[in-house]
Amino acid sequence: MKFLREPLVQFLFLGGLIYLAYGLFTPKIEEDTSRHIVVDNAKVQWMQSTWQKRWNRLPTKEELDGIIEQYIKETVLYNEAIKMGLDKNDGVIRRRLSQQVEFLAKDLVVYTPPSEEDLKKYYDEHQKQYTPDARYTFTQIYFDPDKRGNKTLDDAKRVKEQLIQQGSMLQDVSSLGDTFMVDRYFQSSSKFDIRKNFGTGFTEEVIKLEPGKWHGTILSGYGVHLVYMQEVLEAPAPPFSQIKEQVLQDWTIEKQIELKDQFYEALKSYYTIVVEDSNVSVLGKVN
Amino acid sequence: MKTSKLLSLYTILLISTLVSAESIGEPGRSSGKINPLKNVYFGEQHLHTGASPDAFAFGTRNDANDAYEYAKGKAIKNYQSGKMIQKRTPYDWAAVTDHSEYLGMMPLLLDSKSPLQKTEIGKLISKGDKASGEAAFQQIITSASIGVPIDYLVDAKIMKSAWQKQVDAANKHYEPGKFTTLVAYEWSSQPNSKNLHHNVFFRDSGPERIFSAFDSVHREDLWTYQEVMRSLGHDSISIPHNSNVSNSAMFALHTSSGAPIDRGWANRSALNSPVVEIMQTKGASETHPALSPNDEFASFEDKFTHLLGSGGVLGLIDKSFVRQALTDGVGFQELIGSNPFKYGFVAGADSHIAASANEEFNYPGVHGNIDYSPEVRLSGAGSVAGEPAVLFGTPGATGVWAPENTREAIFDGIKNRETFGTSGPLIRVRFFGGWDFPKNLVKDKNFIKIAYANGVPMGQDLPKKTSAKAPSFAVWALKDPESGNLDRVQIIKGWYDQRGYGFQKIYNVAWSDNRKLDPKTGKLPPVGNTVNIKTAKYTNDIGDTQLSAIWTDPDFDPSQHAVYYVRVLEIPTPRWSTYDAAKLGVEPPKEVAATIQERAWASPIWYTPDAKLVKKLDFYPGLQERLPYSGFNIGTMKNKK
Repeated sequence: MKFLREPLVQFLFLGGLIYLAYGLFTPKIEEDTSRHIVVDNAKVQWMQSTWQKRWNRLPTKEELDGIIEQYIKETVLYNEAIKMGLDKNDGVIRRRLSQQVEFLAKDLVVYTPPSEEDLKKYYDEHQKQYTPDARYTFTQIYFDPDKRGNKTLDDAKRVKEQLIQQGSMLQDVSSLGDTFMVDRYFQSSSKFDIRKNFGTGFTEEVIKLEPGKWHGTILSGYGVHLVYMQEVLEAPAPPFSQIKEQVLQDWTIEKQIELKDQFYEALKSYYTIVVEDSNVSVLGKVN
Repeated sequence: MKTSKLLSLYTILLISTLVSAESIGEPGRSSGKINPLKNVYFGEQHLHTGASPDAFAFGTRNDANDAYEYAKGKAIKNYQSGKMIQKRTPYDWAAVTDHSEYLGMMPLLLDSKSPLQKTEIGKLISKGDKASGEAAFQQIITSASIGVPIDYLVDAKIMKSAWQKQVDAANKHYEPGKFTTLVAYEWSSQPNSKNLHHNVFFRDSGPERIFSAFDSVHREDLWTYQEVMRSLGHDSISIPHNSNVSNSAMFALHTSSGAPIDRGWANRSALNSPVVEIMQTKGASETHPALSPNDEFASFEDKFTHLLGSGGVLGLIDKSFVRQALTDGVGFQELIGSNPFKYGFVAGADSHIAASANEEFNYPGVHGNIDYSPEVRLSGAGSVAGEPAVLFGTPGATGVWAPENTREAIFDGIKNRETFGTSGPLIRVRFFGGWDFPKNLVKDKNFIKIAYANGVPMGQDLPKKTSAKAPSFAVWALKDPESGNLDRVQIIKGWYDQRGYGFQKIYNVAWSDNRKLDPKTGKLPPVGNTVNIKTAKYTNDIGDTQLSAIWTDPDFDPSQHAVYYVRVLEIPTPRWSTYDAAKLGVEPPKEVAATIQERAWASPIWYTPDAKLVKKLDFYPGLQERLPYSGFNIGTMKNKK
């Protein structure tokens, strides 16, 4: 009976139950097309509680009369509309009803809470998502092409050789290169921080650099740089026990989307679909 | 007289009903390193989401959470196009400023369970057809823009919970040291179709109740609200925007009741509204070609004029632009001893799709239904207030110099006017003024340290005069690594002479490519243009990466009040409409320039002469006689050759 533990099967089964329950317990506003309208106590209570939810108080006598009158009016007209077949091919009604089915489907996932193992497995598979951004500590020296012209690259290379010869230890480099508004030293900066200061191209290069060495020449939107990568910190993801809540939340969101899609696909599989006009894209917009 | 007294009484009564305001709880405060020489933090100070009724009508359903995610650099789904949109360079801070009028109310009108649906407008909307929907939205937008509420739609409870949602989103996305959010909203006052919109920003999580244009359309009343809230611990600033379409109202020389601006009014203005928005999607507000005929860069993103139907008529341009206001401001300083237009600069989006898309090459539109794709944007159809999508520019950006990236530090940076606005690119600008700057200061390793120690940064008054020399200014600009090189740096001076006339003059102080100034006119030859219109590509082989200068005012008169601000220009690059046209393989639209020179404006530094130096004026109290109220008089601001 392993198939009974498949989420989709559980899902469809529960889905069926909910449909049934929905049919049994919801006031039959939609289905009642006879010429007999009863506003019983249950209905009045339902109206009152709906009102209270929205307005934080019960309706006054006058307001309640209004709601009931509105309900009767709506029911009469609604019944007539159904009899006349106005619900067929009305875009708004179609969308509303299909949204309601989707909405019901979304709620289903609470009926199949994940086990500890499910969550752990999800955590393992999504390690990357929980891993904090790497942090880079580096020094950069800037060479201004507006000042140095065609010699910029050569100047930078010469300084690099000089630095390498002096040993890889970082000495005071503030006298090297050209004045520049952006800092020379960046301490545990994220990829985002680097991009904010140097642009995309430079960042993509710098995050690949091996620590403990002078690198370059590296180009940015500003000109030419030498970079000493001091340290790259890549912290592991926090242990599962610490972020269980977060994992459950992410699992739930993903599952809801997955099940909603599965639900739709399952329903769709019962249909034969023919798209005749080959120019109309199935994916196209409704409007 | 009577009405204005009544009005202020009304305001006090109204405010006293707001006083129950309590703090909504502070998010944890912690910060990283503090840099006394200050870092630049780029961000957004003007943005609408689906909580604004007009944005909702344009089809926007994304909320403040989406707006903050986008600003942080994450991809979000554009509601109208269904496509993912993402900034290339993330922001350091952002503020969502939804309209306070009908905040968060639109979804309730569409909710079948809401009693609002039974109202006249609710009924119209629930008809479900497009025409009725548009008619309903039109009524709402009109009511919001004239400041007259539709009474049955104004509900304190809805307002309170909608505002709480905005505050919660801001607090949720605030990560001190990494990303700052400011709690803010837009006060959308537009009496007689004259745009007086201000965005309001709180230093903390703000009070429970905000002051909307339905409470009052007069800025004096907004200031009263701010002052009362400040006394309760909720410090705030309000930032005026779109003076360019204010029909001469934003920088009028009189108060809402028609009285001439006096010292008290000027003090309140400077205290509550210390900065002004100089650029956004609905145009630049720096100056206008009619006001600055000698400024070859004055015509910039100035095609959007329709909001209030000024249609480019001269009379409506007068008192609508920042440069003129700054100049009038120093005139007031001289005449009444206080400056009502003592503004620093910020710039922003005013986008209505919850995304501050400041990148010209990465433009997803700003008004949803009317501009969500290149095809729709260039079609010429669809409009907001009658203007086609092509006349809107890309959003601007704001840089703040602050010691750290926290809510308090960013707020204080703006309040102290240590800010600059840009037309979008993240150009960095330093600007200092002082009396004894060494000539080689900008080359010094300790430039910034010395400049802070011996002078003042942008947004401040020059220190008390200590030398017989003219003041000097240090300026340093760095390009955005994702945008064009820099063409030039200019210092723009405004002052009043002893006859009560305002003047402006533009000085080129640093420029690229070893060009030579014309010794007669002081003008600099154009930098050139590398843009290939067909492919929308340009090269950075003209212009410079960074420009700097020490500049001493050659026309300094120690007896004259003066204001100095910086304008940095990029080399020409393609406008968004040119990028779109290249994508579609069509000609760029004719109504707008194919290439633009993006720019940054750094907040002014003011010079106020010692009282002994000012010659006794031969007129009083006649500022209003010297500076005509109505009609454009070129004599109020002359161009000095």
